[in-house]
Amino acid sequence: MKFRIRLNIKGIIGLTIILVEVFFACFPSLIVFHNPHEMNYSAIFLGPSREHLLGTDEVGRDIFSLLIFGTRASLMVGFIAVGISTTVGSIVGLLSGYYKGIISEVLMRFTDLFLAIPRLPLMLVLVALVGQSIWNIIIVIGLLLWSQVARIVRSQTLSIREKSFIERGKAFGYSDFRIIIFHILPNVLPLVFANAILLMGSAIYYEVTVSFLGLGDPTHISWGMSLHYAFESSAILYRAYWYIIPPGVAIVITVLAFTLIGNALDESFNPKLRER
Amino acid sequence: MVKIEIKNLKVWFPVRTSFLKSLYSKKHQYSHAVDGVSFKIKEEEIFCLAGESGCGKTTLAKAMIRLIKPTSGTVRYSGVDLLSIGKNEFRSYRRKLQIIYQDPYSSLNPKKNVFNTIAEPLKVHNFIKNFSEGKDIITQILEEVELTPAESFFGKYPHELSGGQRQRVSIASSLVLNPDFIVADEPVSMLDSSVRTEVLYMMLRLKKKRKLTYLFITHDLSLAWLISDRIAIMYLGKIVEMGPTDEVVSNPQHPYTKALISVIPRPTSGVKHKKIILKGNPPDSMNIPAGCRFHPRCFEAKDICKRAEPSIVKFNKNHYVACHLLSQKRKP
Repeated sequence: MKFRIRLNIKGIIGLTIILVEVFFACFPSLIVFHNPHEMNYSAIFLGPSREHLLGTDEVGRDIFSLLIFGTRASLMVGFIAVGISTTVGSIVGLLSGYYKGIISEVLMRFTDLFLAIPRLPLMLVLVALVGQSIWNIIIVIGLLLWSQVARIVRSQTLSIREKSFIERGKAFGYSDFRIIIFHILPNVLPLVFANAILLMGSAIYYEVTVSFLGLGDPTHISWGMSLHYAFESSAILYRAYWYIIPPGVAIVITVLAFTLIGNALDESFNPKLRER
Repeated sequence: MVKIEIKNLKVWFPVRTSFLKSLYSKKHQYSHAVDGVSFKIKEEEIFCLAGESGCGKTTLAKAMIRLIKPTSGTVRYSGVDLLSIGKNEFRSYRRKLQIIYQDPYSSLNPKKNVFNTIAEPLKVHNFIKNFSEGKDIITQILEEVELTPAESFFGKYPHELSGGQRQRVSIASSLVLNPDFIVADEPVSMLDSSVRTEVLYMMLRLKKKRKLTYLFITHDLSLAWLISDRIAIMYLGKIVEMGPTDEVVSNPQHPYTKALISVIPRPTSGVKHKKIILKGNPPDSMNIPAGCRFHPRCFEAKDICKRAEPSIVKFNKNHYVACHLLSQKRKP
């Protein structure tokens, strides 16, 4: 199977940002000197200095270290939650697109249900119910984002199943499983891939929201938790801009980078969007 | 020997009506795509099914190889009733009944190269254990469809091939399971005219070599005339005339056939042919006219045509026609 991927300049910028972040996430200790968990009550709310590049927080932790170590949590949420939602969404979309009739109807009404429910409140309720751990958050986000994927995969499947090479597969006596996996899926995959990258941005954004609202995993360092602590410790009152801005900027850059790559992929797979 | 025989085959598609309508009318509406067709195709024969678009040719052919479920009727292939046997049992007949599609652009999976396209059916039907084993078979079949050197086509994807080449790959993958009955659904109508004859003659050569039986669907009567042994003319889901091609073309009996044949382009021989141009369009297959289904467009229609539907009767040896005028002419 061949993918012909052509990224435009925006896509390349996005990809570079993500690759740098992946490097941070994999080897954070190569970049920072401070242990992000190390507290120092004699050095709280210090401004940026040579010792602490981005200052310290309310318990004297190095904010630059927190930022770099936080990359790991954000990317992990992005990749794993999207992995879950793409898998679930693709299965639901393929089945409901391929089989007409009752299976399709039931699956699609179920998808509609998930599309219609406001995501954030449901997410907060679910996280509160299952407990505040990073894995629970990942699973909850993953299970909330699949409905969008299911819709896209279904619509694409509906158009591909009408092509004569699918009917030809039936004439050869292929099983439904073979037709779905080897004939429909490869033709749907580019679109799913582009959409998955776009979804990563929203997954990261949801993790930040959940954490900021106080339902994050307290044992994990993440940008959302940083923002949450900054808010809790009234960093604004201390005019500790170095505490609030870096995680915010990091989130924006990451979400933006994923969006850039996603749009570039979309353009590359969808010739109608391509600029000439 | 009769290869395949169908009796009174019907394919009706239910028409979706709105929810409100279904409340006050209990009657289901059906589109009568194929409405009671019977014929036999002999072994190693080229049987041509002709008619304008929308008359149910393709539906009929697909119903014969069970790609579409017929509403009623029987299909017997070498004496076996294909419609009554179970799904698993039918799988062994799958490889014997194959189809060649009209559009070479959508009949090949764009994500599979030529080798895998042809190897997949072989693997599914346990002709080969793994993909590399099929090399000899695939080389041979590609040579048969005149794609040489065969090896150079193995890794090519459909978008790297021309229309004619794609159709050859498509034919190769249909033939690789050694079928003996092939439905050719307008196999050359989308091809460029220079390629068309090449592919057509290749199909005829393959037929001789592999002892195939073709059901050739076409709307092009001159093509049917050129290649087929027998021809059936279809109109709105029914056969109006059927017989040996030469006889039907030289001595058409049904007004519809007469009209179709009058417009075949012929090299001028000094004789002027009168062209019969039919008025209007074929009616909707949901509201089939009462009586003879051709009467609203027929230029010879009589009173009886509006009242009773003609049954198909023998005109002379092997030549069958469904028209009231015929029996009227005979009576006196």
